[in-house]
Amino acid sequence: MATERKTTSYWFLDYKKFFGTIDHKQIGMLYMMFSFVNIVFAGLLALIMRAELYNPGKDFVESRDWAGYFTVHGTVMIFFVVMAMGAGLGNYLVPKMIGARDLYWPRWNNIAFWMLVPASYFVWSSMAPIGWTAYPPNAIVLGGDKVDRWLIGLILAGTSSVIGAINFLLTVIYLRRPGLTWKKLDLFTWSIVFMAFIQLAATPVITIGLVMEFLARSLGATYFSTNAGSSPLFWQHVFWSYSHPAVYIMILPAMGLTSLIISRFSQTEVFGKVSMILSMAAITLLGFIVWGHHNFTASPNSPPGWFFTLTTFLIAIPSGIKTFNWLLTMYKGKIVVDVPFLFAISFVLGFVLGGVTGVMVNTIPLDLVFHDTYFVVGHFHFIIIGGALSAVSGAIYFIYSDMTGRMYNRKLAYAHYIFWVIGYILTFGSMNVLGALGMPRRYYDYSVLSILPNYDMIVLFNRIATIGAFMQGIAFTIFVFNFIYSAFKGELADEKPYNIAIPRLWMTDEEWEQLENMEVMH
Amino acid sequence: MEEEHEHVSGMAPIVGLSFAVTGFGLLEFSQGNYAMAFLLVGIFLAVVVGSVVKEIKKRSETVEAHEDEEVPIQFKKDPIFGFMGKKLWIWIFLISEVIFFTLIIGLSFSLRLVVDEGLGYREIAKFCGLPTDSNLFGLYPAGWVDQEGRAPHEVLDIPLTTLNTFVLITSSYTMVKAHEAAEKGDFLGKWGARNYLLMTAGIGATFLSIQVFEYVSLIINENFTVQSGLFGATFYLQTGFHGMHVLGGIIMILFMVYKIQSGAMKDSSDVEITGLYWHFIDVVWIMLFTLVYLV
Ligand SMILES: [Cu+2]
Repeated sequence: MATERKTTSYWFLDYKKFFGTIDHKQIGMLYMMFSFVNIVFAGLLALIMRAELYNPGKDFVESRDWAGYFTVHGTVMIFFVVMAMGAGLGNYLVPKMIGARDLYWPRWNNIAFWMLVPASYFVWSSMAPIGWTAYPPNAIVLGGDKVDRWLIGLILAGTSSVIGAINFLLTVIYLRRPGLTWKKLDLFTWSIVFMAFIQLAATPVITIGLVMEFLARSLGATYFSTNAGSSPLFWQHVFWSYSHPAVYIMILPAMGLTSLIISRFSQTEVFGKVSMILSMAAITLLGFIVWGHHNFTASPNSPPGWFFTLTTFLIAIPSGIKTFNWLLTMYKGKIVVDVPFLFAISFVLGFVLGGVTGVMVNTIPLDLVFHDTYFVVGHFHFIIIGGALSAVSGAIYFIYSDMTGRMYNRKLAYAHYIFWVIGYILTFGSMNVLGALGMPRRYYDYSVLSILPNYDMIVLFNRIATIGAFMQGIAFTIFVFNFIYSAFKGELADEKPYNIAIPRLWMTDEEWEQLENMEVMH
Repeated sequence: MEEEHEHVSGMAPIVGLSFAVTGFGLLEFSQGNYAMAFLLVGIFLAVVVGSVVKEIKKRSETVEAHEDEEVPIQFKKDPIFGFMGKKLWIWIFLISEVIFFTLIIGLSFSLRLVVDEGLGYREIAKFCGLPTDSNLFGLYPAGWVDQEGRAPHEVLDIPLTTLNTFVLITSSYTMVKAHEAAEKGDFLGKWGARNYLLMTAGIGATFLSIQVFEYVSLIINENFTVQSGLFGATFYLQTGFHGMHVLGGIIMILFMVYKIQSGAMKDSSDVEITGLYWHFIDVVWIMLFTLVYLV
């Protein structure tokens, strides 16, 4: 591997390549750019909402817009930011990790990406006031085409993710380089395999649910109607039996990236690799039988409730195993402190904070209190923002020089990190406190809470949450600026600062040489 | 192939972005503009068919097999998946389809459990801590019936559907024959794969026509629509999704016929893959026929 000077190629300025590329790295970058655009606007929505909540009363957001804001914020962040990042990094890294030239179906790969653009258009243009959970009867009885747009957007996004999932599975199964057995496969690729499996198995559920709501709206079918003997609760079961596994679609690639980064910067193999793979498998399978923990308040004292609380507690075991394995990897290894490593630590932090609060909301007596409060909002934001987005940011720094041929500005990256971590702890930590104080979610004017004994505390923690949110906004602005500026003006990366091309660590020297001779590396 | 070297595809982004057209079609449908909706979905299908045909044509012009069609040696040695060869992708796709139909049928049946007290709803509801009176509001007649209180066998034309079931089973037979012929290398002969595939597509189209006739007569003569309680709503959901899959299968078969005609068919595996999908659709129908019409 010569240390040739890599020059930056601005391939995306050529419209033919921009639209038509079937190269996995370029499609991966398109996914990341798409995700960046979406996170900027969905993040702005979050900042508008936090600014409104800085003061208890109504400030500048109209009540009829509010629900649309949090619906689109949630939906876009899940489907077009975090999931798109997972697909993008999978695209970029998996073929490199397994020594393949490209994904198995390069054209389908392109199609799956471009499908997401209309999908995001429909969701953005909907501004449907239904929450990302779209519970009936609200989602059925609302007039106009807002909800229909939202449903159509998600049906398209689901179709895209099934195509992507089949493509990833075929790639890993068909195109591994000779000698790379399943046991030797690195943890990131494993995480993409599990992610793809969940997408494949869970997406049909939501597609059927969305079609049912669509038909209920447009033709008056009575799937969720109490009049006909069904129940709005029926939708909750359909929705959550997709949406709980969907959480793992977001978090599994982040876990894989964390394993990759921690092992690389601790300069050692991940501790307990087999247990890591088995933990991911356990999380994947258990993830399908826990959805009822979203419905505890509907029938709290029933055997199904106990079943779901038990299965959900079980997920804490593989999650704990993974966390301790990451810590032991660092303990065993020789740590090189650098930007990606810090973000991996931030993932572990967010994952633990979100995980512990998750165990709390899974305890039925506590859930009866916390249900539909800010506690829940704080819990899942810790997992998705503190966890998944941290890992993804770290991974982008990790592959930055490989993507652009240039180095990002380290000082800016550290600034990003500090604002980011402090920001999310302030915001989502405050949200947990707010929930415990009794603040319900989805309020835009909480001056009614002045009847509560701790009203001044509620105002105080809302203000802290808003300050934290703006710190995250600053962090992300620095990130985007660093990303774009360094791609044009950054130092040329003389040698690859991080050896990402192939996971060298688990290979014998002989295998490594053989691989170099095959010239599969880009 | 100039395009291949540049890693650029002209058709792929057009297909991907044309999903916007379907989206707008669905939007028109939701607003009640059915003509516009079918027009837009038709445009989308035309784009997809056009680009697949173009792709097949391109492949028929190249002498060597396309890289997608090569099964890498490494894969053949894979201890878990190696035996599946080129068919692996359709199995992966079918996993998703199996889950899809299991859920549609399962969800419909669980809705039936909720309203059809004869099936033990009270016991289940008690176990789950739900209200045990299924007909809480009494706006629809109790039980698995439509808005006029008619049970499935009183509304649905079972003799006609029995006939239709036999029609679809026949198509599975011609599909097996098509695969047999393709394995022998007989693609274009009188009893070759192409003719058997055309027969299968024709029988599939007959099945669809009978289904459309059934829908029309149910809606017009029996006033049985998606609004006919949970029975009506789930009936159209299950049979409608199945019908759409039959349509997809017919389009897939016609692609294979075109592939044979243009000389792009290199071996029998594509016919086998199409066959697997087609048999799957048949099996789903037999389940639906039993659970929707007969039980
Ligand atoms: Cu959950």
